[in-house]
Amino acid sequence: MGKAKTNDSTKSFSAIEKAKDKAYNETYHFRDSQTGQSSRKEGGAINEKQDSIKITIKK
Amino acid sequence: MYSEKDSAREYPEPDDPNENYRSPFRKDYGRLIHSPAFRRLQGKTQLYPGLESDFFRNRLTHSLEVAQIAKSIAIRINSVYKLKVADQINPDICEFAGLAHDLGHPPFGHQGEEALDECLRDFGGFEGNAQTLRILSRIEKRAKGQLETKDNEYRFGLNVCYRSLASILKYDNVIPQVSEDRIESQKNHAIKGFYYSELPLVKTIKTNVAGPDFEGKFKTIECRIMDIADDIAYSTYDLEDGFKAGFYHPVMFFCYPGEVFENVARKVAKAIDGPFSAADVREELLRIFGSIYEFPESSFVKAEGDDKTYFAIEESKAKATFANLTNIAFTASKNLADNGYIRTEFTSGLVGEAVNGVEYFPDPQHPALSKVQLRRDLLIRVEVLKNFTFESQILSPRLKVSEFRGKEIVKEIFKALIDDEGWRLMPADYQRNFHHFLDLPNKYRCIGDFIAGMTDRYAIEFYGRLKSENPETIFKPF
Repeated sequence: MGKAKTNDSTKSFSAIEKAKDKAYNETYHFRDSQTGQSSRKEGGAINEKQDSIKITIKK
Repeated sequence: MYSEKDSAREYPEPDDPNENYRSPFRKDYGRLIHSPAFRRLQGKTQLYPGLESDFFRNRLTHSLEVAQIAKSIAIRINSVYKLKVADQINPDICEFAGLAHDLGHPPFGHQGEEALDECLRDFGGFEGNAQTLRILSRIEKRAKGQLETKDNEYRFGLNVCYRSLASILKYDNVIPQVSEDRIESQKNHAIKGFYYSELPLVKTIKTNVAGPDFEGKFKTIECRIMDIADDIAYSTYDLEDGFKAGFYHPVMFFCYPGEVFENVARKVAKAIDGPFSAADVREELLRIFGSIYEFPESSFVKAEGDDKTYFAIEESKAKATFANLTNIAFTASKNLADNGYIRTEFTSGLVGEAVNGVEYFPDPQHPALSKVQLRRDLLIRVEVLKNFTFESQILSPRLKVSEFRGKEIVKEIFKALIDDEGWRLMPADYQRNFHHFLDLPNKYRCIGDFIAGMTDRYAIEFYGRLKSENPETIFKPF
């Protein structure tokens, strides 16, 4: 008797990613309020670290 | 996995050589599909009243979905566990179980069930699963014996095989005949099981399926598969109905009152037989829907301090940033609920994940009683979704009014039928059975059978004819 393969219930659902892409792509005002740029690049790719400014917290 | 005794029937039928092209279980499937009780499922409430929209599931579409999922689970187990032909689970019986499992639901769902149980508490009680067995083995009009002897049970319903009947026996428990025999916690609710009147039949089913020496709780592999399929369907499709109806979308789940989370936690703890808190409910919902709240790093300013890395927001832009992030999460959540393609992909993903998480545990001594179960993380997921959908909606005034009304209608109809000459209000075949049986419990059971068989619409119409002042309804035939 064989053993069943298991799947991973911690992975997020692809449908939720699509729901988010739709939110970013189809709603014009979803812009990064700190950089003024679109929160995602065209084509849905996420802006990576280059859009972030690094600051140091003073104690 | 199957013997000749599994395919025996309560009322023996001669072998028909023209029917050898299909198995006895496939015949049972045909008998069920063509039965009036199966068709009536289309008029019975699932969660949302069917009269409100034709998108919502009713008991018929729910049963079709359960049957499809149950059959898929059986086919998958046979395949991934590489079972030999003699050890394989029969998908037809699983499909039958899925189609038949809700036949006994009275009109107005669980409220109708509670109302009938209240009425019949001293006459054997009422419960949906018990009624399903009764419909298949007694009420449906396919096979009958001799009617001559007064008070004998002459009906055999659809006369399906013992193994098919076993596939809907979810609770191996006889319901007490009178209320004083109920334990305290069961005094005010319908008790899951089968009626005392079907006890001899259940004994015969057990002997044929598990053997004469079997002792212990009886539940066949096909019944267990149907049970899991029912939970998967409930957890996913009631959620989808609520999305489509606009009653909620995922981010709203985190805004429900603590009472809902506490109620869900209590039910999940019972189902998984272990501790489960309101916080655990929230965590599981976050595991399912949490990616809605994941935002690109570019939404924040990277900051360092205390040897840690932070995401920061500039004070002057805090309000705009928070508004932006909230709006993204809200819109994504709405998209998941409103967009047909996305919503279908999501529910399909949930069902597929659960079907692939069913584990099989063979019982070499009693193969018919082999076990299946959902992997624990998926069992928790299914139970949280199933109970959250129910608890979040059941408190809404809209459903409360509908429930109250349903319960009142069922009780009033019962009251009218047990009154002097009330039996005259029933159709001729029910009147005949009412007089055939001599004792009060059997007579009241006939009345219960009649009411339980009603669709929501028929019950409202029947009630209207008894109580309304509209004369049109009086002349409509039963």
